[in-house]
Amino acid sequence: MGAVFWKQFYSGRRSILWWSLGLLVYTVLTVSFYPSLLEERETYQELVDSYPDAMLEFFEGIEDITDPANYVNVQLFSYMPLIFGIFAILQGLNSITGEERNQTMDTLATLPIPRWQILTEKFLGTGVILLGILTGFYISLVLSVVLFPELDLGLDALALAAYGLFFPVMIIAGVAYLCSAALPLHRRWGGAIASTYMVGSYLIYNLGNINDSIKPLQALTVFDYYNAIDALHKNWALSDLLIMILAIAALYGASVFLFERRDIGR
Amino acid sequence: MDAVIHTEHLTKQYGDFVALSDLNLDVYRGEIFGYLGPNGAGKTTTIRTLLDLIRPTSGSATILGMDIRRDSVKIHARVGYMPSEMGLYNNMTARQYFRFLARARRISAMDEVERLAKRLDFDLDHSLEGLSTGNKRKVGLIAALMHKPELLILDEPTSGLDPLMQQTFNEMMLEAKSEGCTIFLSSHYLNEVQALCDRVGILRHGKLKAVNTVDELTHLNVRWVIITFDDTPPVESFKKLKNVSNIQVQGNELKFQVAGDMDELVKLAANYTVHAFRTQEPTLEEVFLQFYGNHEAPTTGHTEEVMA
Repeated sequence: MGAVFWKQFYSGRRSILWWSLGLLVYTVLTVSFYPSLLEERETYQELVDSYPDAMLEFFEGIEDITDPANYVNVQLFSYMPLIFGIFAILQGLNSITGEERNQTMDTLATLPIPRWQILTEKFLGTGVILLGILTGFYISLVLSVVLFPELDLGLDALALAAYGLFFPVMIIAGVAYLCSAALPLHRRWGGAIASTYMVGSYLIYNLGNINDSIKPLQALTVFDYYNAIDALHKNWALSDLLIMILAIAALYGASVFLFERRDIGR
Repeated sequence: MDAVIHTEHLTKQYGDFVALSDLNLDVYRGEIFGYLGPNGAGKTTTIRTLLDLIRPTSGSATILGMDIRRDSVKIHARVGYMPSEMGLYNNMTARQYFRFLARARRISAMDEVERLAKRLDFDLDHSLEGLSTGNKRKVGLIAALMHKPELLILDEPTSGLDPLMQQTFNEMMLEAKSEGCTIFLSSHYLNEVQALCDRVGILRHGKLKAVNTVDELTHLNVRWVIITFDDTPPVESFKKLKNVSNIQVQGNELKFQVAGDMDELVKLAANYTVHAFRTQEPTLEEVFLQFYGNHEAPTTGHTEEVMA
């Protein structure tokens, strides 16, 4: 791996620590409520049964929230692409547009490294940092299961759900990289477009569950291909995984194509 | 002669705005070439185009015989570049930064980095965050020189350096030249290029107006003279001098421009009681006007400060 990759990793190494610590607190705290939920199962069920159907469909799995897989899905995993998406967008924008605004790209792009390689090493760096953070998240989940054994979930299922987040988050990173490659210096626009895609995906996917006219648009969102429930039940379709890998490759390829052809801003 | 930089009709446009127009230029091996022009003249655009940071709208160029677009990676391996505004990674020390650059260039250059840092009196363990402009310039200079390039491209290299460091910079450039390095440096400081360069190109509004040897520029010898008299200045007497222009009077002070020989002027001043006699380097704009006359004068009236 080249110098740009290690530079990217070096800059992001603290992110792994801080994100992991934050996720540890959030995960353990969230799981700590599960035993009391089990104790109050009937009260919760009555509450959930009183929800309108649309709300139950919007928050997929809430109808049986005492099920361990449904609980971690509703309380943790359904938001995780959004939370990790913030990291992904920042990485994507800082990697190119951020370097241009800081005027470090002039030095980087005059090293004997082709532009495609600069972008590739940065993209891989983002992926490796994300894997580091996901490892922190997985450790948080393992610790939570150890501390609260009532949450009866296998470590392999948790690993599949946690590491499975890599793919939707890298798609969001890919959108941010693409914006960064297409819009020199327009960090705000890039951020706005990538954030709109991320939040829009979440809304469209969940609204699609309750509105048939929106349903066809679900295929454009990352949530259609990553669902922690499927991962936790270990019945995640391979085709969904392949589609996400292809989407990441396409976004990376388009980013390289545009970055190779445009002026470096300053 | 062997042209290290060769451009043919190199043009860069942003929409209707022509940042660089039809540049035809040769910079020869082993020379120090000064690329002179006021801010916004197109100096940085030229440099960034040559380094493939921005792409020409039309025209072509070669560096070390290689096409700037097709062979940019090979060119970058043999060129040292110092941008006008040096962006640095604030989360690194200077030593870590140079290690990163050496690794990216796939060379072991830390001995050379140590030597250059010592020469520039720069602490390599200094964090890059919050460096002064002068120290940033030193980092840029070390980064440009650490791999012993065949061609140095320096964009406004001495702005922010104190006079002592400027002297060290000049010495380092002359040493690099003596080792066979070709140097292309942009500046809007006339005296900087006069001290260092063999030839000078004057750029204005994106167009290369002239390429001269430094001797030719020096012979032009335009400067401001300011004389403080004991009494009201004898304006009319000075107006009669052939090589005097732009006369201004303020109290007992007479200020004017002189081109060429000062003998007549000094002899005339000697007829009066003179309290002070000062000369001032002309601005680049003034030299330019001397070259090309008022029809080429800038429409904005903008002038550049020149270091004393």
